[in-house]
Amino acid sequence: MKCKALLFLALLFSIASSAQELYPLTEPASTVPQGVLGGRIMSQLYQEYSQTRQMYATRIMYGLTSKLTIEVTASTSNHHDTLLPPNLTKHTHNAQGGNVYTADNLPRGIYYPFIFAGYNFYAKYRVYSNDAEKSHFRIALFADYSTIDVAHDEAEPELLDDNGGYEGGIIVTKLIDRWAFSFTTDYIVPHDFTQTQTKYIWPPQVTTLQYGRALEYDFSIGYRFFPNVYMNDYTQNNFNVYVEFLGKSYNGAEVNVNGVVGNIQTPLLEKGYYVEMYPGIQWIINSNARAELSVGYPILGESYIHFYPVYDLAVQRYFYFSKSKPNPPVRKPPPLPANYGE
Amino acid sequence: MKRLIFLLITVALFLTANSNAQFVSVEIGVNGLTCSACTRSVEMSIRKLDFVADVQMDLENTQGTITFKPGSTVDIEKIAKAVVSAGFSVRFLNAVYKTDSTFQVSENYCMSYSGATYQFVKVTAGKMPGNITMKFIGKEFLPADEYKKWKDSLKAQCKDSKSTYFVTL
Repeated sequence: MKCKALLFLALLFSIASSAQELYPLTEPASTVPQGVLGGRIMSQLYQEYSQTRQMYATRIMYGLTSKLTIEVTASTSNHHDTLLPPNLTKHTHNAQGGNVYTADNLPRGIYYPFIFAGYNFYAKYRVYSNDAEKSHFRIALFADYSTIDVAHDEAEPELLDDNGGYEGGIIVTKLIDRWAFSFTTDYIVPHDFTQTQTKYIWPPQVTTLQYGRALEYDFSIGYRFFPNVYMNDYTQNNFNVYVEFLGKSYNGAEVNVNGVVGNIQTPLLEKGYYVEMYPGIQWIINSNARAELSVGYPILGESYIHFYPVYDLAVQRYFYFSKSKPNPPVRKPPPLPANYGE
Repeated sequence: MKRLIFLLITVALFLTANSNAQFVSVEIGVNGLTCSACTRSVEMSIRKLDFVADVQMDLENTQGTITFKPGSTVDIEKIAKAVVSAGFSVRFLNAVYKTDSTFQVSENYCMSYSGATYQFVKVTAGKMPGNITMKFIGKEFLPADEYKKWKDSLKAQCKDSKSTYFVTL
């Protein structure tokens, strides 16, 4: 049923569909046009032994002014248990007693329910623009706040689906003809997660997990490989290819149980850093909607918050609220054969 | 109320301009465009203007032709603002102005049209035919480096210098 609903939404977006043709996984320094509403549905999938971990998010974007864009994202996933693991300070994701157990000599992932994670409120302000013919250079500042409060059990913070907290950063984007380059760096300050367990335990056990603060550094490259030359037709399909490098370094977590600081004995809660590479492809439909797929692999270190490969899918569209419609395609039909009608 | 406004506008038109004189179309170049969706955003933003009849964008050359509704009051500045609100900037803006009669143009000649004044700069004096193409000179109509070249020669000399557009031929 969920699958059908998603398919329907994807279909809806592809038929009706608008967008700045930019990166699948990172925000560009460009903003949403003033008065234009954008919608985006995102999904992230990866396999954790026998379990397919899924994350779905819906985003509404709006161009408040030509320079200021606001966004609200709501997300749900089966990434988290309802409670932190009992052996939190020692747990791993690849051994007995962690997120995996063995049955019939095969390692199996643990079932987690789908949990509504929360909302992410995002604002981006374009501070610098330098346009030229078929190129632009832009700088934007952004900040976001997340209300998420789930039993995320790793030190690495992530404000889309794992942690509450706030984040701020800068984006630098250069577009030139068929090429697009962007660099983003930001700092994440996650909120703590506190759980009070009373079941089978007396006195109640209050666990507070303080996640690590993190520095993100992302670099994206895009190239329009089709068409070579634009026909004067908005319905012409466009295809862009991307390679995005997503990097993060984060501090270690701190666990506190009933006022006693826990002794961290798992890399999942220690400080770390990594860089992942996401090759991706994007299909632009009606010069208005986009559908994209990226697949992520680690190239330096690795993240403990997901398994690899990571599949990211998204559809996005702009709504203009204009009574006047864009020009119909002006592509001419091929000439009739000389002997036509004879 | 709407009728009254319409009547007032019509009267204003007769008072300030030659009869039937008006901007009929604009050729606009847009900077910063590298994708078809961006071009579409610009088109949709321009289409929101009530005096615009049609927009035809040229995706490959990142420029477009805007035609106006006959008899409507055209506000050229709003076109430039529409491009900016879509997130882009104007590379050039050339407007076709049509009148029934010919008129004499000289350096700093002031032309009135629908409440705004158009001051001709760097032009050779002469008689103009009914149709002329005016190239708009201004911060909002040119890239920053090109505007710099013009900046010093732009001195408002028309009576109503509040809403003066500088144009050249």
